Amino acid sequence: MKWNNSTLIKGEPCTAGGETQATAGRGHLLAGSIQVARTLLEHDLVDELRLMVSPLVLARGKRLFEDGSKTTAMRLVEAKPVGGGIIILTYRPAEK
Amino acid sequence: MRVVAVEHLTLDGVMQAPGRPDEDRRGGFQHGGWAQPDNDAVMGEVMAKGMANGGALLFGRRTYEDFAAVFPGQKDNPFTAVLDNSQKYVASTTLKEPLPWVNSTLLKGDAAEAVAKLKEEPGKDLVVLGSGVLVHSLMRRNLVDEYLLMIHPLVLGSGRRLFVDGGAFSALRLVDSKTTTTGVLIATYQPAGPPGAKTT
Repeated sequence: MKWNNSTLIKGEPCTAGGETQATAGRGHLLAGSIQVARTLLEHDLVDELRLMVSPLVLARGKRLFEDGSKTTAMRLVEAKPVGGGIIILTYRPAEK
Repeated sequence: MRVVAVEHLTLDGVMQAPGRPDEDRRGGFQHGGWAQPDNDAVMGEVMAKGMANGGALLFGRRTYEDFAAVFPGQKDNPFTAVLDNSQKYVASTTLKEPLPWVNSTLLKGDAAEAVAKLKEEPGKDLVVLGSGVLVHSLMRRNLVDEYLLMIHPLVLGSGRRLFVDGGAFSALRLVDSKTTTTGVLIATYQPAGPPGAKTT
């Protein structure tokens, strides 16, 4: 890997994420990476979700939550307007 | 009059059947009533203010028929008197006058055209509740002056959405935000430019 401190996760990201999480003991921050995010959400492997909601209606483009997403109840931990009309929303799974 | 769209949404943007399981089962929708558990005093106050500020209400045919079947005659429901007494405009190409609920007026012909005319009249807000098909037609014509979105902490994965692919691009301004005790974000947005201005 060209960038230092990078580790390639081979195979199924859900299994690898679980393993590194168990061994490293520290959190993993996933930035963007919509496909990995969807996979982890599908497998209940996301402990915290931070959404930055912009005041725009685009009416096209990829969605984080597509039709067919798993039905999930969340808990709102924080809602913070940060200027420019953006709100940062922090959610955790409802049962955690 | 200003057009204010008041909508319950999930995190994935679904607006279908927030109130009751049998409210709207189109497309085999199984999650009806998803917004109910999140009701609290904060939301009640926002809804009461939105509905009872002396303005009129605007409905699409489907939401109107649903409300007309549920609210009139409910003695313990604080919203019943407000809804009964409010002037209600109903956009429909199939309903005929007289409409079944008191203080209801049918908007005939093209809904967006009729609402554009209503907006020119003086008066307080014209509040739209639910009414997805109607709101979509108003959005396409830049006729919505404010969105009051109640965003519930829930992903459903199916159901009709408020903001659909292929709809109108729109830059908004966040006017206000608050949260309920149940984790619902209540966000108020207005178009960033003057009403009717091109936003691209």
